Amino acid sequence: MTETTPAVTPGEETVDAIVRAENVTKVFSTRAGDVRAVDDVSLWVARGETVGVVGESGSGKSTVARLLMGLQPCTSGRVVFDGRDLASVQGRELRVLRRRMQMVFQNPFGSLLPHYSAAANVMEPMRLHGRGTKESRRDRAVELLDLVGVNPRFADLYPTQFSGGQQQRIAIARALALEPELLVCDEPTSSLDVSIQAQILSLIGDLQDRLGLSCLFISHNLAVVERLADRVAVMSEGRIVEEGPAEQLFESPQHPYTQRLLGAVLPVTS
Amino acid sequence: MGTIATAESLDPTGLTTDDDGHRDGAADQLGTLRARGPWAKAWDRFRRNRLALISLVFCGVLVVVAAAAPWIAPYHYSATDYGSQLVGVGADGHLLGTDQLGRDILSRTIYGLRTALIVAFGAELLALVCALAVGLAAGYRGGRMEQGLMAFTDVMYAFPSYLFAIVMVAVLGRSIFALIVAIGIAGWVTQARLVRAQVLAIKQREYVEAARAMGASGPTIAVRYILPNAIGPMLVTTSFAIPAAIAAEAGLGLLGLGVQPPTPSWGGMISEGTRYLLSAPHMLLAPAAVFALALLAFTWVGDGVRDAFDPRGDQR
Amino acid sequence: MTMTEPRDGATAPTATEPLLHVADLHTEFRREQGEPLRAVDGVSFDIAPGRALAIVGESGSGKSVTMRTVLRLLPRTARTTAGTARFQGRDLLTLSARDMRRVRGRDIGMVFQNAMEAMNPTLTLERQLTEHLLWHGICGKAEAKKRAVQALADVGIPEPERRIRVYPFQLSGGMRQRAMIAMAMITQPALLIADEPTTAVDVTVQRQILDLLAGLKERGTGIIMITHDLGVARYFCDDAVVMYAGRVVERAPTRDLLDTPRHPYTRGLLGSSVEVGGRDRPLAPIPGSPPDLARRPVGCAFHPRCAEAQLPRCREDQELIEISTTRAAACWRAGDDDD
Repeated sequence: MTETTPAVTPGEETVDAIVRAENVTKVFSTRAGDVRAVDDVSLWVARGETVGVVGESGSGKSTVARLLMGLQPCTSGRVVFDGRDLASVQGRELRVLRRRMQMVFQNPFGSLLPHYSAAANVMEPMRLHGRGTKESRRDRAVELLDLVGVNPRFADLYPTQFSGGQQQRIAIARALALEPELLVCDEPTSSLDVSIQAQILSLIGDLQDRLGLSCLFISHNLAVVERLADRVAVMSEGRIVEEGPAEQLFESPQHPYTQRLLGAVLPVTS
Repeated sequence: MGTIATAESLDPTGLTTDDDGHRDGAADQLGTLRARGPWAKAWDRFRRNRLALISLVFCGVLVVVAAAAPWIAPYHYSATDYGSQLVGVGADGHLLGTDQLGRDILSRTIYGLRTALIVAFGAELLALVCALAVGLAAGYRGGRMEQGLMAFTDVMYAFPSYLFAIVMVAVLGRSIFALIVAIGIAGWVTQARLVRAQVLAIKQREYVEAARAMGASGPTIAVRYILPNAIGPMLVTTSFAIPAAIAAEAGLGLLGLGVQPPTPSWGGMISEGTRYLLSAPHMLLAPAAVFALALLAFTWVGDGVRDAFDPRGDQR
Repeated sequence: MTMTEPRDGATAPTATEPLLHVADLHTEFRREQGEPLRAVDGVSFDIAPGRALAIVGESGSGKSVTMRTVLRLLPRTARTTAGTARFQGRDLLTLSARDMRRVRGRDIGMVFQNAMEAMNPTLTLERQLTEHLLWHGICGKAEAKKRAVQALADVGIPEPERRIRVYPFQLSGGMRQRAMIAMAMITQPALLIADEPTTAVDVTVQRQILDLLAGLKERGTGIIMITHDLGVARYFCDDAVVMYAGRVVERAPTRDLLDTPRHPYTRGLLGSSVEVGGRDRPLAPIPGSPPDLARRPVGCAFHPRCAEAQLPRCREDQELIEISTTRAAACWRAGDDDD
């Protein structure tokens, strides 16, 4: 990795960040040429903090999530998780590091293993990392299912037998199984119905309070991000155009793009 | 349609009212809920297809008969009854008559079934193992390895499979083992390409990315997550390949490239039967009829398996 | 009885003949085992020219099936068992297949959620746009092309003469959605049915598309918009019906519906919606999930999830109760004043 001077935001160095992206750029090579999905983005999540990333489709927000998770390598810049550059860790070591960061995906059905029962899905990360015995893993899985509001009596049913909201609860239980320090949520509610979305948002809010999770929350829905995030970054065309405390950003957006986004929101109540 | 698909999925914690009218967490649903994984669901769908189920039972009977041939067949396949050659159906002691050497046709048909099934199942097992190994490796690893493996399968694919089988038999001799290898190797290429396509499709699924995010290693992902989900479609092609392999075995027999006589094969029996078509039509009749029935039954089972694994079957 | 009456008696004409009058619609889906699923179970609504009606509901509520029933675009497993859909004096449900084809695409336009799937990827915009005109024998080829270019210009696609030669996949998502609206509008239908037309597009584009549709409304087109987004309903639709488990649970002018919801489910939807600026308002999610139609709760299908349910009253079937000339709700307590 080349030596880069991170664009320092006041106070950043003093922040105890669980994960920090420093000037990361991701270029995808396609047949139509190179696409800069993420362009010189710097972002960090402090311990116990929830950072929201909002943007429209193609803004690069999902790619940022994957770069921070180390699921994709950066083209340039670096991602530091708890003081370690993700690019310098590989193989087994990276997998061990991954245990400390978990992810919840947009499509709960797609992200659960279809041939495993709900309990087996939740047990799988523990099995992969050799946690406990089969029995203790199962007990823990049942406990977690209960925590996220899935009736443990249905622990042996398969993902297709649950509704979308229930599937997302199972996916959240799975993400919590290894007691991660960082939870990355990529549009966790956008494939769900309104009433179910509210349940899942309440659940995530509740879990943040109870477990003190650090959280990176990606969404196209401004209201959802406003509700959960302490700090918000607005992305457009691969760049962060504005970043700041949620309250401040939503009350007095500075960047014209943020203003446009907020202006396009259609209120439900008067 | 989406609306109907959701109507199919249960919500175990959806609150329902029990008979006393109290709000309760799904008490009255418990009785009807059973864990149904993809395999169980496929079996549920298969079971509803009556033709496939009957065919499966029939195929089961065929397998049992083939396995128990030494005990079921009235005579050994090469036992000759001098003095009663070419006797017709219903003759004393020979239910389906005898051939030109006085061998019992019923016994030879049963042993022919045994040959056909051993060759067909053996060949398909071989093809499946090869296909899974090559397809999974190529699809999952990608890169240079994939190019190499796929170039190899393309070469194999371009080679006429019958010709290949004939060459194999010529090289390895006319044994059951040779036939298994010949038909198996001729068949795995198509399947390997299919496995690769499946693996590539499954690799795009979110659960594979989720598995990586959980910290799963490459081989774990390939074997634990991708393979079980690729096997359903593979089972579909395999179940269609089995009747094809039965036909291939008979075809080679017909060309005189089947198992070494006197071990009976349907192809060989049919070939002999045509020579006595006018004087002793029963020689052709029995093996041809069982051959046709077996092919039909295995194909119908294949149909059933295909429908059972067809995700569209979920939306009734 | 109609819900098309003006709210404050100011602008709209008083006794409009509804453009589409749907009454007591029933559609079932056959299943391999068990009773058919009643996906649409006695749905009625009216829409007048120049008005927009929102059909609001979650997945499985039957909102899309309702519109497919009206358009007779149901899959083979579905059967419409009762009901009428009077459109311009004719019952769409009894029209011959040929007459129905003439109505679809000419008198009733359709806009879908995903333009990529709804448009033919192998044809240029020109072919797709002019085909409608040519099929229905509305005009000749040269005229059709002129109108196609005009239609693209109308929906705000820049350089329509050039863009008309491209294929759908060469357009951005927002542009594609506009092109689909152009396609639906080119025959100047009297009624436009839009199924979640903005769900797949970004918020900034959503506003543009809704404003585009508003222009059509002003020109007298009736618009039915199927949506789960209450913000979209409020911004665009004059009236709304809320569907739950195949039935209409509430209907009202949209503003009234969202300001003073009368059915507990509508209240639940509002309590579930997150809004910018609503950070401090606690969420009040509805517990549980929408019912599986195969196990529809007896009586009011919502009562197992309803915080206000009182048994045994809620185990009886709930008819839509008229609260005022423009409002009705299917809850026995909907008429209570203290709500």
